[in-house]
Amino acid sequence: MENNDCAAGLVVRSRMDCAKQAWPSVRLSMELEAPVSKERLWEFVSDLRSFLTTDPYHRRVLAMRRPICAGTHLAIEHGLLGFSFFRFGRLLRWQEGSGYSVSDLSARGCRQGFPHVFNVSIEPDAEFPRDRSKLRIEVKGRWTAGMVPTVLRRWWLKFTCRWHLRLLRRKLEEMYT
Amino acid sequence: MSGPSYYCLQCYKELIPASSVQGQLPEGGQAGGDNCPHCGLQYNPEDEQTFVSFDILSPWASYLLAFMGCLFGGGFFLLSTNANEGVGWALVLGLPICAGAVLGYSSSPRRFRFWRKMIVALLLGSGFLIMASLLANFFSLGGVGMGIFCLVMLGLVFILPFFFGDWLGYMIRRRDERKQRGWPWKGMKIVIFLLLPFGLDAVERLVPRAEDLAFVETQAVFSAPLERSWDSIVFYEQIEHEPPFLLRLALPRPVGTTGGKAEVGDTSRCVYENGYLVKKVTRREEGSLLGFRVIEQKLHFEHDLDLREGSFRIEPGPGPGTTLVTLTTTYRRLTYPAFIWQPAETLILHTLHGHVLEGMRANAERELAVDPAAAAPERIGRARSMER
Repeated sequence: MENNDCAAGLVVRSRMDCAKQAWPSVRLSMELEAPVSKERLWEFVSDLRSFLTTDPYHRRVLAMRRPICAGTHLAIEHGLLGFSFFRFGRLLRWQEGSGYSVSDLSARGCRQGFPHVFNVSIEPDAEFPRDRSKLRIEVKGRWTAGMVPTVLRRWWLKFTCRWHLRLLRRKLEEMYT
Repeated sequence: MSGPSYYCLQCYKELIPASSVQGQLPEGGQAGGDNCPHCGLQYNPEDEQTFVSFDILSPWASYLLAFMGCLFGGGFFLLSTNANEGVGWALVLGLPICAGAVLGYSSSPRRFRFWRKMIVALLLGSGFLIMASLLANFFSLGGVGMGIFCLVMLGLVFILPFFFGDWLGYMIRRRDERKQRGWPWKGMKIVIFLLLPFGLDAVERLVPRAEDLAFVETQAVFSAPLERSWDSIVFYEQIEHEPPFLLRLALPRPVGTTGGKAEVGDTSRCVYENGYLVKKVTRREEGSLLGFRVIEQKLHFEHDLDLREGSFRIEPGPGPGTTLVTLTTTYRRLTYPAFIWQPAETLILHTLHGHVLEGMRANAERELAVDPAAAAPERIGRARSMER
């Protein structure tokens, strides 16, 4: 899916891909093109509290240790249908200036409740490396709710992905346009 | 309140006993933080957001809370069973859920074992009854308005909602602790749990409830011809045989009948050990149907059932020389929710029916006993109940 309101140079372009799903694995990808340099985009992306809560279900992110580095445990407070609960994960990878990975696991264990990993990466635009950069978020996980019908699962993932993308785009537009 | 203790944000196991030296922080924290010994989650002793602290109630606060629970619970119990028309959702589900929620909300993650919770539940139930009795005496209300059988039933019904409420209360407490709410907020929650049954009861009474009629039907096969069976019903006076266990245990035990059933309009009085029932014959079809309406009921379960009418229907039995007798009782249901109480109502009425029909069958077959052609007595047959 691609947003169509991207004619002007200062507009954030976005694209999502959630077509290839082989149950039970889940693979989603979102791509945003922001009208700023990679360094400026990294300022926003590297602020975990702000960036990870630009998500439909993430309310709060707590780093369990300071300073944050690869291996630091994270407690991510989720909110869904009026209920709030914690999920836990780690900062798996941190490459300064270019990206990181964060796991998001259920408190019941790493094989329960849709365990997934966010891979966040940014790269400069090939044509305008100083003016534009790309933010790519990949979500890889395992769908554990076997009772949920495929149609509903697909709809839910697409709905969430679209919502997440919309929030990110709005945030980037607020910041950079 | 007693001092706080510290728990892991993920597994809610105790991190390390609180240190009095470091004041408000868990012991053993290193400069960069530490890991939970159970699940391995990191925490930072200097950052209160990375662990959960639970204030544990002091013994005196616990006793006060238990007393308040018994006072409110007993008061509500008395109100529901005595002042109201019948037992409702607020008593059967609202009270145990709220009582469990108070217990769960005042618990810490270092929770009791299941059997300890059972003991607490029993103590709490006894506390309700004692408090209800004291209040009833104090206000001269004359008892809790329930017999032993109903109390035992209610106790059994209470178990599941109580543990659900306990879990719910604990979950709410965990959430409040995560959000670091203070004791004024928590105290308000406990007061809400204590008062909630009264609110639910008020709401329940606001909702109009249609008259809910149900009937129970019990059949018996008499080894006697139709005429003799009819006579045994119409001229039935005295129950001489031993009542079943349930009737001996707690229910009103039928003793006999006085009055006439010869014509429509006749009244008869069914005498029970602790009460009576006055019935008026409303239909009489010689040899096949005797219908009656209950015009007065005093059986000590007026809060549970309002007996309305009944009938004896007599038909030829399955074998030669036998008679099928069907005794039906129609009643107005006063206890809710119906899906919980209907099995008990059916059991009680079947037991009563069975006992009465057994006496009538014995009467009908007695005179035949000297007759060598008389068949062996058959036991009481199938029974059913339905809602109308």
